[in-house]
Amino acid sequence: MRIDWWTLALQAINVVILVWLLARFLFRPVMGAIAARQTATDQLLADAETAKTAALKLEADLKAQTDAFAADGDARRTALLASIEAERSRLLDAARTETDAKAKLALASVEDAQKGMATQLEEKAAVLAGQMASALLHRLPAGGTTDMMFAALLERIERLPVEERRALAGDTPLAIVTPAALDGEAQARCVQKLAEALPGLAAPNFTVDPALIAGFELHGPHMLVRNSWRADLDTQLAALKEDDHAGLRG
Amino acid sequence: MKIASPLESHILFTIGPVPISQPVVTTWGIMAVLTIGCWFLTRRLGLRPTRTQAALELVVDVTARQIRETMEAEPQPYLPLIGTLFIFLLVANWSSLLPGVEPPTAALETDAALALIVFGATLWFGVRALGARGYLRSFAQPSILLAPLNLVELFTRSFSLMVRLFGNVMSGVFMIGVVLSLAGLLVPIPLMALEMLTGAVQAYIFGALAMVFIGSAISETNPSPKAPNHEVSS
Repeated sequence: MRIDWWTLALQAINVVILVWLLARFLFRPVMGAIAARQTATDQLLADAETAKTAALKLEADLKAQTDAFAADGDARRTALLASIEAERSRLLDAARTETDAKAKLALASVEDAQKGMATQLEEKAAVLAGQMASALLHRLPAGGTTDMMFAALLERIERLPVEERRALAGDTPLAIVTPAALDGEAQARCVQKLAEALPGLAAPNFTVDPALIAGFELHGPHMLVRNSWRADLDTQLAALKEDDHAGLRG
Repeated sequence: MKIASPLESHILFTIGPVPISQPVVTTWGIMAVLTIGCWFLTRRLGLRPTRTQAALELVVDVTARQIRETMEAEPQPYLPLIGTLFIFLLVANWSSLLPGVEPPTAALETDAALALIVFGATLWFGVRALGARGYLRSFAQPSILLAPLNLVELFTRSFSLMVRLFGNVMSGVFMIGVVLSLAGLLVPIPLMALEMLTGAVQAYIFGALAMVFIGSAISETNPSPKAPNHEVSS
């Protein structure tokens, strides 16, 4: 057996060269490809993790934004409801006030109308009463009513104080007003009896006023003695009005 | 028919004073095929691997994982040497399947060259990892009394590496040659299949032992790194 040292050396050199060649053309490119893929995979994972983190952050932000929107919506809804309620209350108060005012006005108007109608009715009633009284009076004997009313006039004069009777007697020219003209005898009788009740009476004048309906009245420049159905009706009417006014004030 | 001695080198031609033997020429051919093939296969590597790229990455990744598990170190510095040894031995052992081609590993000089490279690599990586003093001190582990034995082992294991490979490959080639000369064309085929298996196993054993030797050299506290799962002695 003989060792060929040249072959041994050449084979050693060949293997060393082959190590370099395969390192250059096989192991380094393949390891580089594996490392590049690993790097790309790591980068993809990192990117995915980053994207996941960003997505989670975006989700949290969106959730916070949604919650904020919801809270803002609730606040706005609450404020709107409060505003609507306030506006509703204000409108109701205004409507109630306006309604009250209109009701008061309507009531006052109704009361005024009622009052006017009552007044008119009273006046009509007075007129009607006067007409009815006049109509009824025409059915009575003229002398009886005249004597009775003149007696009432005399009685009223006699109830006056002395000073007033004296002043009435001196209040010339004094007029005796009657609803119908008296004949001469009746006038003389009236003057005689008045002179007895009013000493110092000057000769009075006789005046006719149908509105009196019945009775006698004395009209002087300064004094007035009423004793007629018209006066009584006027007194009744005035009393009714006074009662109405008293009722409204109460 | 005369069978040539497997211990003799056949000089094909000379370049000046340098005789070029048949194993050297065969090795050049293998180097050319491997280099051109690797260049062709790795010229278009991408992030989306083709089937070819996936196969290449599988081979390289398995080799790197074997280095990591056996040497308990990062495989990058050792991958070109270990991987080249395995691929070259595999291709060289299987080259006997080609008619008229004798595997270079059937020549003692080739196996001696490979063992010498592993020996040099063991020294180089051991000194680089531990420093010259640290590497020398590792021979005195676990006791100074074992230093002579460790020194002797450094040489004998490289020698055994050479002899193991040479014996297995040479015997297979020789046996096939003998059977072929006696029984004709088809009879050696089962033996050739067995030789393929033997060649692959021997390539793996050689690479695994190289990893073990280098791993023990770079590990001061662990002079015997974990051996591969397979039994590597033959």
